[in-house]
Amino acid sequence: MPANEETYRSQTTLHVVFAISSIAMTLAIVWMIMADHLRPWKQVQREFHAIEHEKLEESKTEKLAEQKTKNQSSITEVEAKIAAAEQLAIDNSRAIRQKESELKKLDGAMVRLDTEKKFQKAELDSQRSLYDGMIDRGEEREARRYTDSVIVASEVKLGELTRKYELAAASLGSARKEINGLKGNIDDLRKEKDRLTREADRVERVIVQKDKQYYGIGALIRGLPGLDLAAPPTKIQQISLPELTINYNFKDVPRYDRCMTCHQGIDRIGYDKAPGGQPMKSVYAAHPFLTTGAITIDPSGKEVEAGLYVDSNGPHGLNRIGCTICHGGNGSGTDFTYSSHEPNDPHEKHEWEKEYSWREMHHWDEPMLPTRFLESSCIKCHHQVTDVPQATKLQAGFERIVKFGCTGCHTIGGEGSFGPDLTDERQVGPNLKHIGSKVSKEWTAKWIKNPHAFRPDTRMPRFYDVTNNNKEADQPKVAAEVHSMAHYLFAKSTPPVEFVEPPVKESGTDKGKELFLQKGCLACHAHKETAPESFPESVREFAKANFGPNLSNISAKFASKENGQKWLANWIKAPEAYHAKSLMPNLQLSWQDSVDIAAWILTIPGEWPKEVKLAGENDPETKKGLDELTRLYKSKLVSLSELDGAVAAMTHDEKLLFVGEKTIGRLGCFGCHNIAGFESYKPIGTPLNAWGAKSPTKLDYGHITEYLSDQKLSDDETRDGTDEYYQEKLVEHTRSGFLYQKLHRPRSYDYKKTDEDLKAWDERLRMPQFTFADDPKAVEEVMTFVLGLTGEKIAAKYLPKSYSTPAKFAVADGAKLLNRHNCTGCHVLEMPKFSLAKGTNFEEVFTDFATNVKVSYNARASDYLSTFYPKLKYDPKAEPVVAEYMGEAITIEGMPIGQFEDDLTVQLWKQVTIRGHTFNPSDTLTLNAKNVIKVPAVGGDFAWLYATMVAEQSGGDFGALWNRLPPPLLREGKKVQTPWLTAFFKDPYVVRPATNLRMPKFHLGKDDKYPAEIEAAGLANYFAAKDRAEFPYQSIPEREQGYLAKQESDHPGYLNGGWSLMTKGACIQCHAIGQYMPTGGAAVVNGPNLRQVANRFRPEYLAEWLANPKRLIPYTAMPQNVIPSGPEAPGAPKSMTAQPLVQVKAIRDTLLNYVQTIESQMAAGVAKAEPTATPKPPEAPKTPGAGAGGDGGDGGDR
Amino acid sequence: MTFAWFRNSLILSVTPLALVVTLSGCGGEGPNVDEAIIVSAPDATTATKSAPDATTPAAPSAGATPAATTPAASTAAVTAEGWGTLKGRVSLKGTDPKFPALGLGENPSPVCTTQPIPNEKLVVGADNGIKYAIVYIPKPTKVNEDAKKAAQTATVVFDQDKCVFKPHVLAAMTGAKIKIRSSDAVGHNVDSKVENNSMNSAIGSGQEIDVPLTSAARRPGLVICDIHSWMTAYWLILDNPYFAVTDEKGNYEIKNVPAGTQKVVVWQEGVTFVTPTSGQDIVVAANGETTQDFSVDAAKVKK
Repeated sequence: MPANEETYRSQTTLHVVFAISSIAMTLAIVWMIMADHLRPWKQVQREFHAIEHEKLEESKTEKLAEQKTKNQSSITEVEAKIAAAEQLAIDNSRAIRQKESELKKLDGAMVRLDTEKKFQKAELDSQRSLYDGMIDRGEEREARRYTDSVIVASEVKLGELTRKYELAAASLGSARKEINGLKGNIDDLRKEKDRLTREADRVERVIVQKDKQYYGIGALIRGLPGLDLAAPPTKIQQISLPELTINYNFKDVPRYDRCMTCHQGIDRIGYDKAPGGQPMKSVYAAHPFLTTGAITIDPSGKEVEAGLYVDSNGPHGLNRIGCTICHGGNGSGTDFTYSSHEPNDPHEKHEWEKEYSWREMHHWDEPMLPTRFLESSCIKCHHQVTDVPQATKLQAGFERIVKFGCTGCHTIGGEGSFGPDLTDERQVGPNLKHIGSKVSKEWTAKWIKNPHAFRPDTRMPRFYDVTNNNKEADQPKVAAEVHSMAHYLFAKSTPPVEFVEPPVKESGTDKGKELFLQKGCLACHAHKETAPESFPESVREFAKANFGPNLSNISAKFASKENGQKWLANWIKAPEAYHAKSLMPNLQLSWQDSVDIAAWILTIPGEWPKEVKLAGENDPETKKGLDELTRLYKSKLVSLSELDGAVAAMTHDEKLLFVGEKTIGRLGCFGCHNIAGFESYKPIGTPLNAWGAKSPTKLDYGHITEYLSDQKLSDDETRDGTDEYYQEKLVEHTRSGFLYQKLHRPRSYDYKKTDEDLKAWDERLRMPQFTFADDPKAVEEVMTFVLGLTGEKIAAKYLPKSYSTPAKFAVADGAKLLNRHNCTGCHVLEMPKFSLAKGTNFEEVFTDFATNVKVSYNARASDYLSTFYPKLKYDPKAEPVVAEYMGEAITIEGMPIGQFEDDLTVQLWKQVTIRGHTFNPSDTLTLNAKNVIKVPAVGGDFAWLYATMVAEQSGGDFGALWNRLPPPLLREGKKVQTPWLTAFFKDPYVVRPATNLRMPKFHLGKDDKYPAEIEAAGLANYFAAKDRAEFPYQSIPEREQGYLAKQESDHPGYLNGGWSLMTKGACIQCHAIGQYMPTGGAAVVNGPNLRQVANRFRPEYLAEWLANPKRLIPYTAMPQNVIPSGPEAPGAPKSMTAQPLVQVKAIRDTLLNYVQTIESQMAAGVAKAEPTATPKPPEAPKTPGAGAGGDGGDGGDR
Repeated sequence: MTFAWFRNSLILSVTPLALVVTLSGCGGEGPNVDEAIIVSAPDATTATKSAPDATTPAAPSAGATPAATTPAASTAAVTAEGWGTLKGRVSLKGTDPKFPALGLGENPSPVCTTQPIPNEKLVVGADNGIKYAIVYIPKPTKVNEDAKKAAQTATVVFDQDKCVFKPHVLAAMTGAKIKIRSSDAVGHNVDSKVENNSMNSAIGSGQEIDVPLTSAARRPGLVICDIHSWMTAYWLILDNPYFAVTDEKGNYEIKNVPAGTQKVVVWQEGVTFVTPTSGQDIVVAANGETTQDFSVDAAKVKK
């Protein structure tokens, strides 16, 4: 068949199809190219490049202006010199040319000489080796001849060449200099100019470079659609973190964070401000903690400030940890929605929806954390929690969880978990094994029903009067349960074995209140009789302690007054007899004091501030409820046919006991309380490990949407206290929504489920409602912590323990313990701070600075400056130097010791340099109370309260009162030996006999796994670590034989000399030494017994203390006993006369070698002749002792 | 002990002064030296030369008869040339609460128990006159050079005698020295909480030390002995010579006060400030005596 032109399809049609598809394809390509070109992140980068350009130009202008003001005159000068030099070079061109040709010749000559020299050197070396060969062969004669004839000549020749070479080099140098001179030293001038314009030039260079990369013509072309496939100016930027994996359910995959693709300015200093000074658009802004928040050590070993985040010098460098490990979100996303941004409130949400078409990414398990929960992620790595004190919301949440005892029901941490471990937290409720000896049964039932009615701020949550059991129909069962539990507790209660009938009678109620104030009760408790209004205004804040229960209504708890008196007196005397691990410490009070305080507390009538409705135990309805409950629980034990019989066979009491036990077991009361019969029960709540990553599909939201919509909408858009944000979060079934509602209205998930056929009584939700349920701030604090419990396993290299120091951990650990035992209720950890903001008028704050400087300067006369303050100088004839105030911010830390009109006097506790003058601790500064910014002290609430109150009442000196109050613990780590402090926490003894109150004995430790030793050592280490002192052990070189031998040889009778200074000097007036009482009399015993010093003090601190005590504790009553210049201290031995520093050290070393000194005194028989060696019974009036050597004036009664 | 020689010479220098005071005063009770202020004689004479009626700046004229009170309060400040004398009396309005002697606690040193330790918070004498009140002018409009010189060169003795600070209230001017001494057989420490003049020194038996006063303060400050907790005293360190501590009868006298309106402050331990802390306006007449009495409300005395 002949071929024809006919085709299967019409060619024309095909052409059309082809044409159309080609066009479509082209369009598709164009579309594709444009779609790629216009991807949101590229737009963002382009905008950023423009901003960057502007920023650089701005910086250039700035640098130029700076250069102008700072260097312009020098630049002009140098430029003129350069011009002159150029002119000079033209003028001298002939001479220069001539010199240059000369130079060339000289250069040639020198090179030649150099070569010759090298050859000659090689020649000499070969000759020498020939000589060595001759020696080896024993041809010594030939060798000598060879040396004389050849080698010597060769050496002379080399010397000659070297000389010539040096000459040539010198003339070359001078010729070069000459040329430079002829050219006017132009090279040096140019270098000088470069130095002056360096800053601006550098910016200029950056601009040129960036121009090439981003905004020049070349960049423009490379950025054109289509062409930008090759080397575009816009690029995705990512950090790969192969070890910081993300869990994709079945596999851990490397993390890629591309956040900086858009957040371009995140790591750029100065990008907090947009060009022109406005705040930068948030997407381009630098990280708020880019330059501040952390401390790092620079190469020279100095501490410098670093950025807490992003900064590579800080702990969270951008390239080390990326972004999403903290912020959450999808790091691989390069689009606003796909990176799973999360709005912080409904307002932001609506804005985002409008602006970025944002929507919730339901399929990404870890959405970005909204700002309100940002601190959650800290605990992914910081399992210690307290090692990130900057995360204040998280800390508050942690403290709340610990305080309210969430861990009683919900396990946090423990074996196999990854995250914070709270298993060492103790039960927060009192021991109920002896409850019968304490409160009345009626009170107990009402308390169980609604503890908040009796004490609104109690830690005990409410199990009743909540949404799933507050209906009228529920009340019989509620009453039956409440009475059953009370019945069970009382039936099982045994009397506390160690409680005794108080051996003394009360001495009068006024004394009790005085003691209540004086003995530090207010450090933990509040009472209506000591309400804030009864204290001076400045310290009212400190009368609101809530660490322990508010004691206002205590007397309403007891069955009878006699019962209460006995119980309370015993409890105050020794709480451990009732509750072994009570947070209430043993205050080491006498029986008399305990009885008096108890008596006073009981004179204040107590009442229920809010009525609690509770039907009686024998009310027929209650009985009916009890029967129903008995049946309910019995039905699980016996078969249905036997049920009626079994219930009928039980007496009323048996039913109560039975239902009581079941209810306690169901509600988990034993989580917080010690209850007989429940010792081995396990906590009833969901463990919270990894709850922060729990899939919302595993949470039962019940009918929460219906619950919310059935609540009235209030004016502020909340429904039953749930605000708009959480309403949405609940409807969307998110984790945070669930958690909020669980804490806010724990039983609301039972809504419409409590009908018996849906949920039986004992299947209803059990989570109780805490007193903070209606405080959204408090709820969010707890949520911040719980949401951080993601259980994510983080590679070891990212965890704090891989780079933090042991000291840092010790501080964090100690912070927890200090909190646990409320140490700051009595002790000051940091004095108040007073500051002057940058740019304030100096005189408006420092009202009497000249006087302050003068007084401070003159006070240096009594310092051992060169030993303890080597940088400070003092010349009695000179005036102190004060520099101009340059507008810098100033902060001082010290105790406000008095105010007169607006003049506030602050006594410094930390050294500070202001305007070039260094003020030492105990120096005072006068501040204007109105204009200064005050930051309150950390801790010491009771001490501030008591000192201020007494100073106001008696007119005594505020500072001096502190001698009898709990001491501030600043510098404590540098002061005491850590082993001593550990032992002291376990067994506190009387250090200072005259204090108003004693250091209590705390009930440290939890159980065998977490014994008292760990807490005691943890507390002691904290102080050392905080002050950067050595811990846990210290070496005391002053006790070493070599040291003592050296001192003995320099100052014969060294330790006895120290002893003499102490016993003949002022020490013994206030201090007891061993069994010898101070000569000032028993009532004036202010100082610690010096026998204790050896184990207590660190040597460096002790020397500084003895040299000038007020520099360490400004309010101290201890005078300076050895002054650096002036009259000799009494008792100074001959070997130390006129050497005050030696005397100070001798006293120190004597104290540190106490036993040795005593032994040597006894051996020498000297001790007998010493005045103090006559044991004086404290009650007998003292007689002036016969001083050593009859020197009654020095050694006598002073 | 180290300074024992000083003590003798001081007594010698004090004797002529005592005579001067006796002559100028008109008391019949023998030498009546103010315990707080002892000015060496030569300076007193220089002061006398320039201003006819100037003797020691703060020595009270014991037994001065209460003169008719010059109307002192005025609304507008009066400026005037010349110098005048401000005198008067501080007395108690109401009944003396009569504070009992101070308790010494357990087992006090026998040195301290030879006599009861008086509570000197409020010392009321004849006619309800209050001893140990301070009348002073913190910010005078002018300062008389002679008065200043006299006050600055004064040496003020602060003794510890039978476990009591003597005097209980002391006023001095910057530039002067406080001579701290212990006449007791027992040692003390002088722990001064006085603003800008704080110190804490152990003073051995018979020891004497000089404390130079370099800076002033705006109000009296407390001085205590930490060994004997009942021992208290008050010091006022001023940067001008216009102050006086009242005597047993409550009288005070300040000489060479600039004429015109002055803000006068009166302080008494039991009530702290009798006048407003900034002072009460009093017009001092030139070349004459201005009498101004003050009263302390017994009801306001702190227990």
